[in-house]
Amino acid sequence: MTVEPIVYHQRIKLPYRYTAGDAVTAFIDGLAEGTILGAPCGRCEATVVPARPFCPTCSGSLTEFVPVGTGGEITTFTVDGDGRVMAMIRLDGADTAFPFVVDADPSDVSIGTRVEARFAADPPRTVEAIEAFVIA
Amino acid sequence: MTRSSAIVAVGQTDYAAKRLDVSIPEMVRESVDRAFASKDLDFSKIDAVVVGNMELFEGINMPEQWMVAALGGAGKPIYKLNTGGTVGASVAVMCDYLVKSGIHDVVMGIGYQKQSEGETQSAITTVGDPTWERSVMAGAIGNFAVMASTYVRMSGVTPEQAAKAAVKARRNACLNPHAHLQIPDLTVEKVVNSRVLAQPVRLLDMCPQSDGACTAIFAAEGLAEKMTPLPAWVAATATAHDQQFMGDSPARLAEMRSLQTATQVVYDKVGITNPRKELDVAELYEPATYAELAMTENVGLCEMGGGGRLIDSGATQMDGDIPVNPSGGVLATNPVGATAMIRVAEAALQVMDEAGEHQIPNAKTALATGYGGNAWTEALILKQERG
Amino acid sequence: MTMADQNEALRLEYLANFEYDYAAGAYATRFMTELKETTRLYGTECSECGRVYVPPRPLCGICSARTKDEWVEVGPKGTLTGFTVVEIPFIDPMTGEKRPVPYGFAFVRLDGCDTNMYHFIDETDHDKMWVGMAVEAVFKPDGEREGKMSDIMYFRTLEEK
Repeated sequence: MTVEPIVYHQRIKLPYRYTAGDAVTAFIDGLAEGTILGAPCGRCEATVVPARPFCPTCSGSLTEFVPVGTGGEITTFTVDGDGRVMAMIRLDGADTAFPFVVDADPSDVSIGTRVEARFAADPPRTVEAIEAFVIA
Repeated sequence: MTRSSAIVAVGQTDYAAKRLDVSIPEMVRESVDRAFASKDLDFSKIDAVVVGNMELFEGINMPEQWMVAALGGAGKPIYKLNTGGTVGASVAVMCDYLVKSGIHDVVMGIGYQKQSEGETQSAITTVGDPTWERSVMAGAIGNFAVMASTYVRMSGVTPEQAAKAAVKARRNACLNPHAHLQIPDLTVEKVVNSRVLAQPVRLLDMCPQSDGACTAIFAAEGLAEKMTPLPAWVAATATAHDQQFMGDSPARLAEMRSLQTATQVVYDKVGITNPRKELDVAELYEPATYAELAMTENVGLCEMGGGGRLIDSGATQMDGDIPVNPSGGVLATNPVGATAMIRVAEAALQVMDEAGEHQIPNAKTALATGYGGNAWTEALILKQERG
Repeated sequence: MTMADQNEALRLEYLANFEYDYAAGAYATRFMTELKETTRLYGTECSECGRVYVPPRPLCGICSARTKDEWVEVGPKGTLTGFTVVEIPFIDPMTGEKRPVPYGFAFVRLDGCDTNMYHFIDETDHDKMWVGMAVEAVFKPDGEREGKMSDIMYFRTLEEK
């Protein structure tokens, strides 16, 4: 007698709440004011965006935060299965790029395309205070 | 042939219920910076990093990758371990292996957890097998309480004897500036009258939930002596695991098979036949009062069933003949991912003669143990003499 | 950051909600199918030392020897080897919800078996239970069993002090 092998469908469902820390808090609160903050690293002579506590290259502590441009250029991108553009964006004044959604037709986007942040009208206290980037 | 390795520097955060002033990477970095500051070290001296955590504690997958900037890790070998509650000790054993084997000369080991950011008990529940165990779990506390009831039945220990471990821990913690629960006026009466969590375990029988990180830096002979005056030589390590399912061990807390095995291995390696006499101090991983009593039996500080009599005798107090957990232990401080590393670090501080106000005089031989979800155990012997 | 600042500290929320399909394997399938169809419980016996294991498995962890092909019936009665009454809730990761308290919880040694099984007990007065107390599995009725651990709803106590 063959028996149907049993397969159990289960889930793991758990809530988390992350302390943002000074640098990320400053960054997110800056968004509500329409400002995008980066953190300059003196040793590397580079500005890291988004602002974060440690330099990704030298691991130095980053304690100062400065506004960078709210616009910049796409350094690379992809289009997902639903036609949404996900791009790496290097803002004016930044030495690093970060990923974000670009609300644009994929055929209008290429490497080097200039984009501008579109801030949410009623910004939540998360990175979604930027709704998306749009073609500048 | 292998060479000797030693812990040369230790850094600990200020443990607390909620460290809302720092993100996880910042918290880890605090312990790293303190380890560096203690011995004038920096990232350039570190060859590799070993990080210990359990992904579901904070819900960050590959956290070592995520916090690479905090670790000074870009371009360096970084190893990640997950062995549940004992991960800090697993990290220590791995650091020791990496240095002894000659693969790296200086290795930084870190254990951390921010309990305030997740649901630790629930996360621990996922160690349960999905088919057999996961739907019949009662959280770490409920599961533990069942085991404790068997231990109580077999040993005859009383709630008052167990409570003495809680009082000792929170009083010792007053001499440890990093400890979380520092309660100088705690009494046996307060403990036995505290709120019931799951019989026989009451609130004050149980370790706290803490946020914190602990870093220990391991170095090879030839280097270690230049980095600190009294390196804590890792004389022996052992790791042992019990059978697969939680019910496989007949009396899981009363007879901790993996702890007996691991400590016997390290005792044999260093030639200890009478641990009570030959150890100067022990940092045991006791998640609750009943566990401390049972562990003193299973590591051979007294006869099986004698944990209650041992604590009654005062022998495990700081001025006793075998102080247990002068740091305050897990009962005073418990950021689970860090907790076992804290045992190793505190044992190291003792033989390095750097434990400050909770220093046991003339501590030259220390035992540190870890204890993980499914009875995964590590044991380490640290000595002042290289041997 | 001051304590006042700490209360304003930004915390970012995330709900992890992952689904899995676990293949239970041949041993679990055999045990659970029997449980579902007949409410009979079986364990595997080590060919060397004779230990009987639930959950059933191919190897004895103590001897490293194979277990016998013929399975041994165990339970449905058993004894408590450890017990508690849980009064503190925790979030059950399988549902994301808290299980209501209090509830009895124990290690049950099924008759004929050498291992313990965690399960719920229908007693919430700690003083009414003891190590060694006789208990019996209570199964879901015919037609409601699904071939999983919850087909045993709980164990009921059979003795009084």
